Amino acid sequence: MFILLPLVLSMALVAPSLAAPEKVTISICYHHAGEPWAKIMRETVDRAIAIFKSKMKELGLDVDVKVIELPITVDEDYKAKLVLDIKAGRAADIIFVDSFWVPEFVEAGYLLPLPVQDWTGWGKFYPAMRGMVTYKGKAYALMFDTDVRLIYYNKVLFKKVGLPEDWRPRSWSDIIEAARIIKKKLPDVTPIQFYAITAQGEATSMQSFYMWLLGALPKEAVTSGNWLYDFKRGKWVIYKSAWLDTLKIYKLVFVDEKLGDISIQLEKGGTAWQPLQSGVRDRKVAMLIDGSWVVCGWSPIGVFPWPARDKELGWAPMPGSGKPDTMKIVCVSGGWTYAINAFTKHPLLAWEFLKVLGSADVISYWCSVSVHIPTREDATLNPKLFPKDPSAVKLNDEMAKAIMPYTTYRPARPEYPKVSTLIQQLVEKVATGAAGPEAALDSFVAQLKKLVGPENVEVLP
Amino acid sequence: MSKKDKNIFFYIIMVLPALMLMSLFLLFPTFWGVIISLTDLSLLGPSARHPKFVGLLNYINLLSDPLFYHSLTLTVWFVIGSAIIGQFLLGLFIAIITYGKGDLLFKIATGLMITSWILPETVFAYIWLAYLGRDGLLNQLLRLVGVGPIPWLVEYPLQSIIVANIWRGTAWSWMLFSSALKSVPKEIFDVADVDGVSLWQKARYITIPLIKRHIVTDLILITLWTFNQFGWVYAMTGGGPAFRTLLITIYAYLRAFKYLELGPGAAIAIVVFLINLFVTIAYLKLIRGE
Amino acid sequence: MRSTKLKDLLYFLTMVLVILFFAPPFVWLLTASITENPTFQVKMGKVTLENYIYVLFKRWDIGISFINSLIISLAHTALVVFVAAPAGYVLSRAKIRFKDELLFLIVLFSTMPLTVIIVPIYSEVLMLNLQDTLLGVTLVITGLGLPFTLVLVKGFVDGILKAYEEAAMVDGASTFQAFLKVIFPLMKVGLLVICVLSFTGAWGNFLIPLVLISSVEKMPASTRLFSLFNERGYVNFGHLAAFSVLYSLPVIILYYFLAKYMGEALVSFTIKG
Repeated sequence: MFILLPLVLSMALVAPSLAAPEKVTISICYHHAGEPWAKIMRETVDRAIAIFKSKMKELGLDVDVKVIELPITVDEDYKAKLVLDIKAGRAADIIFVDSFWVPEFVEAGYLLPLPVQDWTGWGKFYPAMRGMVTYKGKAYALMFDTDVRLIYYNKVLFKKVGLPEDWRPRSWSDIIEAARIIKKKLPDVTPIQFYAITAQGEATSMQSFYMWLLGALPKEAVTSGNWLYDFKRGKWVIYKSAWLDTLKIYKLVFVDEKLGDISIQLEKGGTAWQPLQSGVRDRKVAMLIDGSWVVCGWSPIGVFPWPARDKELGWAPMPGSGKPDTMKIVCVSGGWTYAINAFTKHPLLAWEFLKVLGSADVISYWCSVSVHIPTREDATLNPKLFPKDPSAVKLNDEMAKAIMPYTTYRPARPEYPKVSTLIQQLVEKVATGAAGPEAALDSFVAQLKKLVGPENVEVLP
Repeated sequence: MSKKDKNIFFYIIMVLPALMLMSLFLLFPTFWGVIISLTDLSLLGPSARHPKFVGLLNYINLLSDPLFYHSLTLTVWFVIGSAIIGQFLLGLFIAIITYGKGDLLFKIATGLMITSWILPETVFAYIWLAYLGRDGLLNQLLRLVGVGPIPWLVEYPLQSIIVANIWRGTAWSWMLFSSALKSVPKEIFDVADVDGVSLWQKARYITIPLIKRHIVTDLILITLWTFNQFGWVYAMTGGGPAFRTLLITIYAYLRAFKYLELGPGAAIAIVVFLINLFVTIAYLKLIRGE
Repeated sequence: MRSTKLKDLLYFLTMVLVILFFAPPFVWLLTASITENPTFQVKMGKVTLENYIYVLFKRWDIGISFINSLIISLAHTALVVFVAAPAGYVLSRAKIRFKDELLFLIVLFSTMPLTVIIVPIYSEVLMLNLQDTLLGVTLVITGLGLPFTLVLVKGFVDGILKAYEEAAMVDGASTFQAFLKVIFPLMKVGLLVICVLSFTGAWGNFLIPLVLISSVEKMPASTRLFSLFNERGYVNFGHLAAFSVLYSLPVIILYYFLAKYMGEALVSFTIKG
């Protein structure tokens, strides 16, 4: 009894705060990883806000937009914070969401379906970009940017060991052979690196595992989009021999022949991208499989300025395994989106602002200054918008043209993020030598069955 | 009568703020935690919109969860290694050895020990990251005797955090035992010296029994504290590599905040709480039995 | 005679080993903070004060974080004195049935894992509109630290002879007056210890502000340091080392000033513990 009194008193202090707005303010939030990324996003959002405000003024409305910047580096921490805030009804009206989170967020009731059928802009987004944000027939977000993944290499190191400066690998054996040559002739250089630790999160799935797996899977599976989840059969599909081939590559590279260095990745954990990306510049790493935006990291205003980048950096589309009936060039794309918080008090205004964010003008601007690939066919990359490094924009454009036709996407399923986590654990197990490919894959399949239900998993040869 | 009433009135006033803060930030959240652990509440996916009451399912699932046993085992080793063997024995030993001393050597040594204890958690985590790094001081020193650079946190992660925890916490046990020894009348020790008792015998038959109560107090405190360690370990290793330093508190955190499964995460945390309960009860019984 | 020589040798060896074990990790902190752009290596390059200058004057967000830490730590300490001291006194003096059991419950609650209570705490903070405020952080830290401080205070009060209080009571003073005029001054030593421990605890707390604070200008030094180490921009360890040194100094100095009181306090705490 005595205890209840203070409890009741403290609860009584919890009075709902009555906000009495005079001018309407909507809010937008995003996360950033310190400067210079914060500045780039801020400029882009400010540009969109200016356009939006004048649009609203024409309609006689006085609207303000509050920008909430979250200085959270790790994507998963941002996700946790965002989700906590949404659930508590405190998140911004417009939220920055990674594209593969969309189905999960929709299932949780966090996103507002968008009335895209009344908007001409919607049709200008590439079909795949529309597909990524559509779930159960409704659109829930607008793709802000997209990207491709490829293999970078250092031309100076290649020249030193007699490999071609305009190297175009056509199969996995081309890559492994190049790595072996480098290992023999340049013992202080790490021949190849790709993410193999759980601390790198989705990067390990996207820039690493899928880049190999897609080259081992049957062509039909990849082109139909049913390469991980089969939408026709409604099951998660594991093509056993393709998965084993991929895992064997990890074993070969990181455990058997030490063509890649896993221990520096483990040591650096969440910041493992730093020694890998700076390593290519500093001639410590000869090849790196990573995303198209890394070019921005090597720009004069980037994290690892590389003055000789345009001369010394080589890149090539990632080839398939070379086995019959596999893709010749592989890529998987992602991207970030802006969506509307389902608990917003101003859904119509939020949608109007979202349309501005998703306009060709704003997307062109963002992709030009952040070295991403535009998601609308009428958005163009303009090197003039990025005066400090116009050749990065050109490079980005070249990469897009060479690789976008071959790229695929992650399955839009709410369980996907959890499946991806299991994949990252699988990769780390094999790459650290903790388990062999067969055993690790068996345990992965068991965990997958536990996660989504055994009737939703099918193991194919 | 009226005086007693006045007393009670003042008592209530003096206790009220504390009680309010505790109910708001401890009592209620604990109950919330227990209730949530009985649901499948998640922050994402369908269970975010429609959480279901699942009874003891989360707890039962833990029984068949290899990560749960793994993290529990790791934590037990962590507690035994760093607290019981490390901090306790080291603290006791140093306290006995330095009884009555106060010279410069003593001041330097104990000053260092204490500084390692007061150092803020984040700084502690990062200087050990630097110390154990591949190009860090430990490897620099080892290279002088020909031992190649070893990435300690990658190859010996559990041992590394055990040693780091011993470094951090020994000062507390030492301070406790030093004060305890000081509160014992000096004459008792002097008598032992005159009688020609050996160091070891003196420690075993006189010193230790005299401070038995302090020994038990110290053990219980450092056991509980070590078992509940989270911040700096997470900052240093994130529970890895490959879950090799996944203390049970870190596992609870990962389930709740990385995988966003609040129900199962709460169940793990409640299990930690129950283990704390068990240890505390054991301690009280020991104290009562004095 | 032989026993003394052996004892001295043992003492000397132990002290040397202690120094050899405890000193090394600090070295990097000192050398890196005065080196330009260091790695984890301990290397004496060109000595420079640039790191300290940068941290103190060129980064407003780091400078502000020290002020935030100071505010939170002082507020928390004050709150502990005004909230925990009276309550701890009552815990000691009041004749409550099942007092031992109550104490046991309080101690038990102090071991509640943060991961389980942080979500409801966050929700409550949002309800009270205290998110992203220093006040919110202070209240939560105090609330969570109360069990420990309550038990400490109770221990001190127990150690003070009741005779003093009864003498005051015979003179006709009320319980509250007895508390103010007699007990409180005697508790000065105990309170000093609690103040130091509370200040140090709040100063080092980085998890609570990490959850409750999202604006960079409101982050305390503990959380700012943690987030800087994890930033995606290139991390300059020299700056971080200088930041760490400056951040650690206040609590180290505070402790050394009051070291002698800590010893007495520990004894009385454990005997009644």
